[in-house]
Amino acid sequence: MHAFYFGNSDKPLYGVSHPPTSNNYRNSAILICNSIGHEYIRSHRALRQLANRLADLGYYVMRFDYTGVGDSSGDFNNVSLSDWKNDINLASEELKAISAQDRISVIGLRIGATLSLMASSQCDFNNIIMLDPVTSGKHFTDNLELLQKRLLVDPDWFAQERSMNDMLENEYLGYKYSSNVIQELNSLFYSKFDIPDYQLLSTINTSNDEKYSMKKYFQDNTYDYTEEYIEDMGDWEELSYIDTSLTLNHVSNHICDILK
Amino acid sequence: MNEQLHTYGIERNLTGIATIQDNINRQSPAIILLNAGVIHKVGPFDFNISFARKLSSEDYLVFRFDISGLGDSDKIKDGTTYNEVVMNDLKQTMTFIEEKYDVNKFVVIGLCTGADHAHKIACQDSRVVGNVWLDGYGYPTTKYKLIRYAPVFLNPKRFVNALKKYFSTSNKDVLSTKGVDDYVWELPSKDQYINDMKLLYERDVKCLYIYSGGVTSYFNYRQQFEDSFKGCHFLKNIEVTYYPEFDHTFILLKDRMRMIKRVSEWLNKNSFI
Repeated sequence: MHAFYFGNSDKPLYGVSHPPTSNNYRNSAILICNSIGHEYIRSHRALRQLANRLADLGYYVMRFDYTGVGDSSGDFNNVSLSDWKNDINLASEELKAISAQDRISVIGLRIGATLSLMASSQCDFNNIIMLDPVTSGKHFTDNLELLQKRLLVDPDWFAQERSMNDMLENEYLGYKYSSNVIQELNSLFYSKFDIPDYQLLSTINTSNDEKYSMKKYFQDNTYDYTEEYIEDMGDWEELSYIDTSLTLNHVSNHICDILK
Repeated sequence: MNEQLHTYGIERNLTGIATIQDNINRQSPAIILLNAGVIHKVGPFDFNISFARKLSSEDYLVFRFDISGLGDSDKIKDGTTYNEVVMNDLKQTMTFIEEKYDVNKFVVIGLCTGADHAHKIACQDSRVVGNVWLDGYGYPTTKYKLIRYAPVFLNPKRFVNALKKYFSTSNKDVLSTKGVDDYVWELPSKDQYINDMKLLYERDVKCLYIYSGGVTSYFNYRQQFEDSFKGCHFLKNIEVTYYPEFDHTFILLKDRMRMIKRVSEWLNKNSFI
């Protein structure tokens, strides 16, 4: 595991490479795209563990933080979805350079999966594996708003009840979102993206609720698409899990089986 | 503001980020921010990043890093206990900062498990001149027990609920360290703590202890710390702030900025020799 900055030196992005640790070298490298906000923090450890396992299978793997997220430069409050989409493009190019591979597969989590789809026409991915993708940006922001409201009055969080006056505008679960990003998220829907039909698409959901399924759309539009439900931790809509480190043992096992 | 990424340490397994201005004030101590629980170096809800960017704007060199096995620092398998690993990592981090940036005094800031590490390294390494605890150790007093238990005993319904809770749940007030091998967050005995603090007092180590309303299971009124150690000389070097309305992770941004402002004022008023 090696951390480094890449991209524009004025606003560097933070990346971590996981070179292959076995001699079973593969003909593609894997880019991991995390989520944002509180979901980014929750998922960091699980995605690092997944990256290590994939490196053990012989893949060159790279994780990175979007502009304004985690250890990359920039303010979370001053970014746009297109910045993040461009970050995926930059990260993909960086991974091609450091791994000496032309074929890039992506594993995207939550909004990271959705952004990967958005970026796919630009990035020429070989394969996109989406974990609990955000299928509707409006649903994502509605859930943030709901969780924030619950948080303020939850006795497990605050010994004294708090009010909306105690928070900033567009503050959700520890992060101030810009009005611009909220607007962009509200109109985000996967079927609006221009997705090349030669890319292999697969979704792994930890919820079997039909509202998260993209099967009908992708299969109706003749994409090479698979979708599976794997019982594992996700619980993205539960307040009690917002500060709980994610474990994705079953999902990780499944991904490793697919990519073995 | 400039953020510089470093890989360092004897095994070159440690990853840290220095947040600095062009003109570092080398007379001031460098600030080291620790992991809280298993959360990587950004801290809970980017708490460490907020801290680093604010304090660096006041010309402090702020360094946040991942302890071996956490975040982006590889684990080293050398047979030492997790506590020894943390202490070694902290010593290596201070040595690295000394060599790289020519600053040789340190204030260590830790939340929850980080507060435990901050205390231990202050006792072991004389380069530490200040300590900031966020929800660190707390010792019960009679008044604490009255505040905590009297309302329960006086209300039969609450008493029954408390019994049910006691037998069915575990304490959720501290960040989980599940997954970090053999590390257990243990409160030192009061005698041990007093001995430690005598040592720190002799070295004139300054301490700021901040408690939130997220740890009412062991701290529930403003004067509790002073009441626990009445008559002890080391209290002269300790300031205590209590924010009963705040949560354990300072998730609300206004709360976080208020807490960071308090730390900044404390740093600026103390001369760390």
